[in-house]
Amino acid sequence: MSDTGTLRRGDTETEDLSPRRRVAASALPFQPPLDAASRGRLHNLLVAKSIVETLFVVGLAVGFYYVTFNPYFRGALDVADARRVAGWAIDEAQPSARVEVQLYIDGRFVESRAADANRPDVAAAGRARDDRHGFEFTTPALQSGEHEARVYAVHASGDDARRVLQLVGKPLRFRVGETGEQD
Amino acid sequence: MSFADNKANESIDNAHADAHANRDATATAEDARLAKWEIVSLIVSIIIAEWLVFSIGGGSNLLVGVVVTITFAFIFLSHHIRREPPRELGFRLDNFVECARLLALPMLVFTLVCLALGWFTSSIDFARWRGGHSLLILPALGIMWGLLQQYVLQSFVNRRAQIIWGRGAHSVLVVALVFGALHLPNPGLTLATFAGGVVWATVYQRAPNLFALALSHGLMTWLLISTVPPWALRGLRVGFKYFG
Repeated sequence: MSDTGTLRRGDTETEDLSPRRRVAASALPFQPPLDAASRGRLHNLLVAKSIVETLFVVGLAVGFYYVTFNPYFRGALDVADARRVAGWAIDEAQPSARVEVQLYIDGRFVESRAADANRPDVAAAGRARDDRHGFEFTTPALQSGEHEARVYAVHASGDDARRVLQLVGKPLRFRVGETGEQD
Repeated sequence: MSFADNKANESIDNAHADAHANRDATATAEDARLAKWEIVSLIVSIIIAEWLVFSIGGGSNLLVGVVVTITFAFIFLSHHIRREPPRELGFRLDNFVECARLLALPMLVFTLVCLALGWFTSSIDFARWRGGHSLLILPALGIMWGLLQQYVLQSFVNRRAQIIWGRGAHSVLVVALVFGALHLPNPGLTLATFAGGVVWATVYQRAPNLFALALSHGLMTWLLISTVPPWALRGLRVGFKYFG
């Protein structure tokens, strides 16, 4: 290039400039400024992309929640003592399916089973179409003192790549006496 | 025309020149602000793809496709609005040799460093990158992937960085930092891409040729995989996939 005036956008070499007209490359404007209309279009494009991506991320988050966590689990933990932990659980989206439930005592896993025990009161209350949505665990041997029982419904998603535990009802606290019986 | 008239005309000309200069300065500042926003917007798209789609989206092809479509639609529209023809972006052959010449020395240094590292760690294996692909397809895939990355990095990020900071160390460093950061949390790859980013961004600013850069990118990736111990690169995984 022999003249700064012949520099084309994208051509960045300065070596060929004659010494009289040599100009540092960084001193040249990289691109001519955008006209007001183009600036407005670019601004609108950026705003539109931000909105689309925000909606995408929100959709992804909500979709992830609905896929990963089952919002249709219903149930209750009715009894927790030194002998048994019992209650019921149902998936309202699939009322005829049996929900897998897991018992944790003091944060430690105890047992897993299907909620398929007979609970006619659940069907009678209009929660289920059939009677078999109850669960009953035998309480394991525990040291004397206060304990907490939690039962979780298991929800699998992503072709069983994820298994999520969702609390059934509220945790129940109970005491075990010196003899291993309920206080 | 009297002396007084001349002075009056001169002051009017000066006022016009000042007004033009002010308008240009405002326009340039506004362009720089938009260019910054464009870079940030691209980074956000890549972060969404690397971190969100592969974590909460489970790596679904459909979701990846949506993000890729949004990103490239944005890049193409931005080029269109800024009136950047393909030749200007680096899709050209006239400066291929010049670009390759500029790349030769850094590539030679990188090759020697990689070979020394591989020799010391006894991890040289030039067939490691096969990954089930035929040796005929693999170089083509590597170069195509390199072309895609260099296109986004140089034709978009580098050019926007030059609008903001001009040509030189500042814009080169920003491009390299962006390139390195997008390979987090993989420490080995972040370091390698930062170093590569410095070289490629510098060369692009002197001789913008995407084909030579893509060839260099493909070759250096193959060399990196063939010489650096696999545990240091963790299968080139980035974003959320790094932990998987």
